Amino acid sequence: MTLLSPEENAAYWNRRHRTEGYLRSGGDMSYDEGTNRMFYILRLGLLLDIIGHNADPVAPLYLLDAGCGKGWFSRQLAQFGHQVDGIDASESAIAYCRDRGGPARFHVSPLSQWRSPWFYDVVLAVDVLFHVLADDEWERSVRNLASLVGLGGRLVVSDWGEPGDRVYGDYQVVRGINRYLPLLSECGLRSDGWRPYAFRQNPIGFHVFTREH
Amino acid sequence: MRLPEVLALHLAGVREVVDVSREGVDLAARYALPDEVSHRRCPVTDAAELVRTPDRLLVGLLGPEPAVHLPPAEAAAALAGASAGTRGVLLLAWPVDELPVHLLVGPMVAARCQVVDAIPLGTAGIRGVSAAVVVQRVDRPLPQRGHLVDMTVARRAAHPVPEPADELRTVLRMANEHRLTGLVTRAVRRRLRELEEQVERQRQRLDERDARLAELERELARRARVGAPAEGTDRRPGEGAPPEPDEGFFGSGPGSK
Ligand SMILES: C[S@@+](CC[C@H](N)C(=O)[O-])C[C@H]1O[C@@H](n2cnc3c(N)ncnc32)[C@H](O)[C@@H]1O
Repeated sequence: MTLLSPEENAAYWNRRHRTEGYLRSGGDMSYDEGTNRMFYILRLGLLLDIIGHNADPVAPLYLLDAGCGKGWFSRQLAQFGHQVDGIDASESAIAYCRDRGGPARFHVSPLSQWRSPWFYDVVLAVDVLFHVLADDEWERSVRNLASLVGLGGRLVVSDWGEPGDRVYGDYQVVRGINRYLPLLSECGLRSDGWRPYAFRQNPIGFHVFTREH
Repeated sequence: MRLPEVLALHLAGVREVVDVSREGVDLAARYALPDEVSHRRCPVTDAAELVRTPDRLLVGLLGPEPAVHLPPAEAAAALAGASAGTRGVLLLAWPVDELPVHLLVGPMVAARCQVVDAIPLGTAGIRGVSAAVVVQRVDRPLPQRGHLVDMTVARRAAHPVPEPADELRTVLRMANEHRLTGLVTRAVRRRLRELEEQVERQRQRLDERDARLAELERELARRARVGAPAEGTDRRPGEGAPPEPDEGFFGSGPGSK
């Protein structure tokens, strides 16, 4: 199976975000909206555990939701009291986010191109990196996201927990832990483990990294 | 966070909390200490004698009013002679965005204390307290704990801070982040100041307009009274209150123009 080209991939996401519902468009297309709701809430619970249970308006945490899609996680996390930037390469996703409004800020940007004068406390990429199909762009994206995490902050990226890569269909390439660990260790991040979603048959989970130096 | 949650993070091995807050400041009811931890008050000037080892935890309310709050230098001095590992939980009564960090950093360094936690307490509901900093007497720099996770006792036990794999790189990261965020902060401070000045100018302009508007309204009312038919002449029986006496017979009493 040949993979989508970058242009086809971009067109695919724009179309999907235009035509699908709020959760299905960024969630699992093989489930209906209600099941996707369970899927989203379950992962939000995992993220709560990874980010921590504390938010204080006096000194909020700064989060980057990289590949935010229609912004469900951005909005939920912002409602906890965090300051959230959501970025996505898809114009139609970001147009939707801006129309819907809410407490987060949204920008069109590929993961590899987002620039900021500030470090983030947490950078997340929920179900995004396995949609970055070209290896060189994947590596640029991982490095850029890692560089945005300040000392003591966390990088949280979804992928499967097995060693080795695997291609699913024409628009998903899951990459092995053996790819993440050396790359992120080189970037100064310590691995704090992999937390499987444990949602039905989904093989994905959150890799958690903490900036050590 | 709530204050008992902050204290709980630092109570392992502590048998007594020594509260050096100014007389009249009584936060004891807020501590919710476990039974095995006792509590005593002590003037800050006597605390150095008492708080010498990690089994005593120093607590105090610091802030801008010397009659009510401790100055940071006094709290730091109380820990200077203690053995490594001894801690203080310092509650701050300055707003976080106006925290005079210069008053805290120097005395902490002089007392060889490292800030190991800095926790906003905006939601703690203690009037005037905006944050807590936890300082520890050290004889070498401690590895950094992340500031966002592991904020419960159980989680800290489950995730002890590992020694950094490469201490030099950690120090370089600190130095580099510090320098570069310092550069950005200066630019943002300048921008903030400009915006504050703009807001102030707009506010003054609005005040002036409000004052002018009030003046014009008064003038309009005065003219209406002079030019309009005598008040009450178009009132139907029973409608509204009778008019106040105006100028005329009553001369120029208070309120007449
Ligand atoms: C499965 S969706 C997940 C969306 C969102 N994180 C969620 O969970 O609802 C994948 C998203 O990644 C975005 N995406 C794919 N490649 C990207 C890239 N290189 N940079 C930024 N976003 C990208 C797509 O536009 C899409 O919105």
